[in-house]
Amino acid sequence: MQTFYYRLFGGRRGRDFMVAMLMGGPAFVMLFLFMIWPFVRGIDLSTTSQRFDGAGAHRLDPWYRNYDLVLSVNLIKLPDVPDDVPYRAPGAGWYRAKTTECKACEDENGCKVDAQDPADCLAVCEAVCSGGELIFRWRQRSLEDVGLEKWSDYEIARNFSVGGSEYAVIAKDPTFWKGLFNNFYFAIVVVPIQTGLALLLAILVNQKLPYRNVFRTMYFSPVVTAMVIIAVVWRFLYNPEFGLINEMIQFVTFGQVEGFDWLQSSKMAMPAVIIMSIWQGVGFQMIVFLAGLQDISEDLYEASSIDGANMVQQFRYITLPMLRNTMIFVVLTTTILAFRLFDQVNVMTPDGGPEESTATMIWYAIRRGWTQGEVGYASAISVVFVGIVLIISIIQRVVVQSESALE
Amino acid sequence: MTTGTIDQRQLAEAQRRETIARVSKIIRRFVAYGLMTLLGFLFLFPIIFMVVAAFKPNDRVIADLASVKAFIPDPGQLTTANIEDVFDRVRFMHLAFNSLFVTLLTVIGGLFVNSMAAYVLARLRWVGRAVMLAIIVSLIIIPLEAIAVPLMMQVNDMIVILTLLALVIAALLLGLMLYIVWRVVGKMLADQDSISVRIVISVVILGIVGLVNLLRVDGGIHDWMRDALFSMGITDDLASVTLSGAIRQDVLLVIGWFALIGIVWLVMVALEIYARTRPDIASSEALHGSMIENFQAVAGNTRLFAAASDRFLQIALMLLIALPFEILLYLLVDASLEIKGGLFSETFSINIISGSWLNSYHVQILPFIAEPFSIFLFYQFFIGIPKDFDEAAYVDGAGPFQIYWQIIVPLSRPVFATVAILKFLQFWSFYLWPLMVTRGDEFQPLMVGMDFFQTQAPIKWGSIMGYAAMVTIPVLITFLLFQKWFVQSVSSSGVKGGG
Repeated sequence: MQTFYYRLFGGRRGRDFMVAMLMGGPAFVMLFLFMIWPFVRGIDLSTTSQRFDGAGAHRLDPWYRNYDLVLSVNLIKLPDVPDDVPYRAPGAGWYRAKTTECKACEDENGCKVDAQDPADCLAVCEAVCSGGELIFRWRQRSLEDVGLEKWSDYEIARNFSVGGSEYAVIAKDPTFWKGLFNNFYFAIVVVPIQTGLALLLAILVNQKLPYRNVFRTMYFSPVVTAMVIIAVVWRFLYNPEFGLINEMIQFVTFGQVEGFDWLQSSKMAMPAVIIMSIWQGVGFQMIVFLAGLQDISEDLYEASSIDGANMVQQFRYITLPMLRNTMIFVVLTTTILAFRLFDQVNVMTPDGGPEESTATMIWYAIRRGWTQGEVGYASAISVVFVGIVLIISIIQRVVVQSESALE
Repeated sequence: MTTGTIDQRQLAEAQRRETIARVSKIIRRFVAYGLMTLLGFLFLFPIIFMVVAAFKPNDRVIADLASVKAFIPDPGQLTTANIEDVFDRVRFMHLAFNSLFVTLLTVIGGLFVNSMAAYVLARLRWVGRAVMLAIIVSLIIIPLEAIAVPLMMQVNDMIVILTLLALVIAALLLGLMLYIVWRVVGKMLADQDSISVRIVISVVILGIVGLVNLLRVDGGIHDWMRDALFSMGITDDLASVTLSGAIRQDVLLVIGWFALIGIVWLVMVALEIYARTRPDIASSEALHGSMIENFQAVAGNTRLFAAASDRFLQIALMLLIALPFEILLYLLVDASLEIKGGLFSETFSINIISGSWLNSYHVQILPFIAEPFSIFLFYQFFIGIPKDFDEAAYVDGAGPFQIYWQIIVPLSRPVFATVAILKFLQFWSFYLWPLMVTRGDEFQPLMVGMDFFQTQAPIKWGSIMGYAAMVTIPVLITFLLFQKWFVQSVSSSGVKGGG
């Protein structure tokens, strides 16, 4: 058989190529079929209005229309309006208005619906039945209503006031930008906290104490639970009425703090997801740090304590520098994982949370592409997502390398 | 005299210091243990709560929350009602089988395929190696979630040849799994009579398989097969099978049955070949006559009963080996489901002609076997093995595959364990992809099956906790048993990746 190779390709190099294709072939072919090709195809699909059922398989005109929808964003100053008619309640898409401000008409069920009277109200008012009670809410006005016809394609993603003036981030697809914001929010909170907590746990279980492995096991056990399964358990724990978390908060604070609405409130939904994610993931990083800690030579600590260094100094000048590579690895991987956030969000807040406060980019891509079947649009979101992840990792690598160069 | 006083004073001082040191050490330990216990509670309470709630009556789950009973149940209250409810409402064992089957094949296939790719990248010099390596490293950054939607499109209109190829690869993977089990059994019973033990095991397994099937007979062979498949969950509803569908299904059932016989025959041939290559067996016993006679000869000669001392172990192994046989049959009949196409036709309008992979096992396995990060981990390990080993083997006339299989793989057990465990954790809890590509419980894994309890009334928290506990506890026990390996695999993923 070997002579056959020799004759065919001549020399060991040729034989090696043949062997590489035979032995590595399965992996290379599969990577091409299931990663590279779908990725390239995704780029192609993103310029079409392709739907999953086969409709819309033609190039868009202009070809970048999906990208235009995803990426169009702007910051504008909103015109001044009377105080009693705010654009929207802070952080909410709905604003509870006085019933007298809007004339609502009843439908046949006795529920009041969509009483639009922009002339009177300068906004769109809607009445909904909630538990038999009528609640009047202001719907966020479209930008046309306030004389900004130029931005009629846009919707307000988030508004805020600076120095008495109202500003708004407007986008053609506000959900994507909310998702982007939520991803960054999640990453910026989770990466430092999870890394720090993991380091703390690693240091705790690295002490030479009897039974320390028992504690290591305790901290690691959430990692082996399946995220989807344990997220359901946490959804129960977060229940505002009978959830264990609120019970515990009340117990610890002697009833001073009533607890939170967690997953039902737009402010606390993301923190709830964050706490759960850290709980589940920190054990993994702890083990990584533990391995790093155990690689540090004992002599360094002994020598420094002879020189009179205390524990804080030892941590600052020995542990941290020696853990640098481990730290970089943990931060890089945790950041990427943070941007891939999907499972827990989908299970704990199936509709993206109150006011899409837990919507993430991946969640949105899956919602558009799978739930709603808009494969073309979802592919555009995915391509943008990969671009963002790529940029973040390049920035991180550049930072890491420039730091190394400084040393 | 003076010196003596000084000594005493120094002694007293030293003693005082030592006492302080000891006290402060005790205090520090106390604080450390206190903190660690508190943190331990924070990490464990959701799991404890889940397990306790799983064994409580449904109404007590919420009622007990305000008291310590949330964690320490009243012994009188304990009930298995939730567990029974789970079994009543979903085919839990079937879902568990799906999960385990998909995960194991993904992991085993991944170990094999990725390590071979890493081997040729790390140990051989060939044109395009550097480019290939660069591509694979850069692929690490692309998260699966980002290509999920186009990938779904891709697997929905796979060409037919690829579908057939997928089935062949899946069958080969099963063969590999069988082989690995076979080898593991051989290692576990590594005494002088392992061959005979293996033969006996396989004969007994075949006997069990046959016996189990015989017990089901209540008509002709036709009914018997149908019934068996129905009870195994392969055909979904006997009444709804249309005439043409029924004919096609019957053809496939016959094929499946012949395939099973073929496998049995293959195993027997393999056993005989194995026996012939063992000089101690081949020389001492003339292998002649029919295959069955040879079996008896081999089995009878080799101190069979002496080796078969630990029968409990053997029965366990038998069951383990029996599994792939059943699975292979399963997979072969898997194709019949796709032809029938009823499950999906409403939602996804698929059929075998278009080559859609949706709603099958292979759609959950094949796209994830090759994985850049696994290749990278293997690559980093392989590159550290001294080149001299290969060279020596090469001079001795070993081919590249032999070098891989006989030198590199045995030297790389830790990295194999690392990749296996990391991939197992990843794919055991895999949610997004199965959610997208499966409908109904035929091919769904446990993680997606969970949705049933959250969406289908009545929503009983007791049953949800029961389901969650039943999914979690086996993995937790596995973790506790193989803790060393888990910890090692996680830590080596970090240290290696840090550079």
